[in-house]
Amino acid sequence: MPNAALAEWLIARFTDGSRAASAVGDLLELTPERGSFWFWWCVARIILSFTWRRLLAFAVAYLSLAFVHTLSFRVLPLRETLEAHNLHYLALSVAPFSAFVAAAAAYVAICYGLRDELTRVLFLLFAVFSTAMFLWRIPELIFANLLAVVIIVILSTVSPRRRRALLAAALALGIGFGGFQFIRYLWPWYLHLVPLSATGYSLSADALPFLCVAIQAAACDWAHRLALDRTRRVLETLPSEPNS
Amino acid sequence: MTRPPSAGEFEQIVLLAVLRVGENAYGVTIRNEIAACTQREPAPGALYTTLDRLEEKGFVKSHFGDPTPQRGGRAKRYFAVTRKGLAAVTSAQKSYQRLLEGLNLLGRANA
Repeated sequence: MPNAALAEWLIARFTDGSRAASAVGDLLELTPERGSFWFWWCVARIILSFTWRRLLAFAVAYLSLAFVHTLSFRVLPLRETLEAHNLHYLALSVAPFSAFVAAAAAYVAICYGLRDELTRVLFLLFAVFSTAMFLWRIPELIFANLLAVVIIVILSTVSPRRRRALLAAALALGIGFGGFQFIRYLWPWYLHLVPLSATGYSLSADALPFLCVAIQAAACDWAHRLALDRTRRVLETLPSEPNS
Repeated sequence: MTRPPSAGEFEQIVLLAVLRVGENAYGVTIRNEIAACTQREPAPGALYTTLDRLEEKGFVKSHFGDPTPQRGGRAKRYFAVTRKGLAAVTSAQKSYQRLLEGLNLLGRANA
């Protein structure tokens, strides 16, 4: 007999414990006629089916962050241009923030779908921030962006679900970007402790964007669970109206 | 106004299998029913993630039975189609029926 406790523990890393136990129980029922190899093959496929979407979402979020960052700081000399106009603070905050919004939007779109309220709010915010970042020389567009933000906020307060989506977006981006700022604050100390290799290559420097995306992804999952999933479950448990 | 969630092709297959099995619908019986009716065995991972997704959409509800020694003391997770799930699968099947009307595809396949 295969080690069912180990299989259950492995599956429970990606879903809740009772669901993992029932899935392993299902496999155990069929194991006598199909064998241990089939059992472990099924365990691997169950784990893959629970994780592939998040792995893909993480990869796309990383690429989105890298793309927006490269576009703003390498392809377009945004930092130099903004600093030349004494907009140093804008260069250091809005541009990286826009990259974080892009990463969060990509991650949430793949994990929860395009119809999800949080996805829609994040894409709207990305549109606003990226327009502000790249077209900041046109005052009319900045004004239109500010107006768009006001309209998004007002429209979001109309329904409770949209309000919660806005709250989830604020939480996710606040934690993601706040985490990034905190890591950036600690990073020089860390690099001081971990010296560069003889070739000058630093794995730790390459790990920074991975860490940022990991924090942003975890923040998106947590905010979605807190503001949208949990509230939905509470609403579903409430008794429905008699004539509905 | 948001559109009501709809069921995809595999989701419809799972919903119909749960309906066919009835009260004893849990992982193994649903899987066996799908295999018997479609001649294709669904991947275990796909089945569980689809059942989770259907539950999130409110198309099925689940509850845990008592633990059994045959399953190493693990409980079965039973599924039942909700009214919303029934409406979704009925609506999807009606659409298929309308699309099939006048095509005589089933007659040709049996010929």
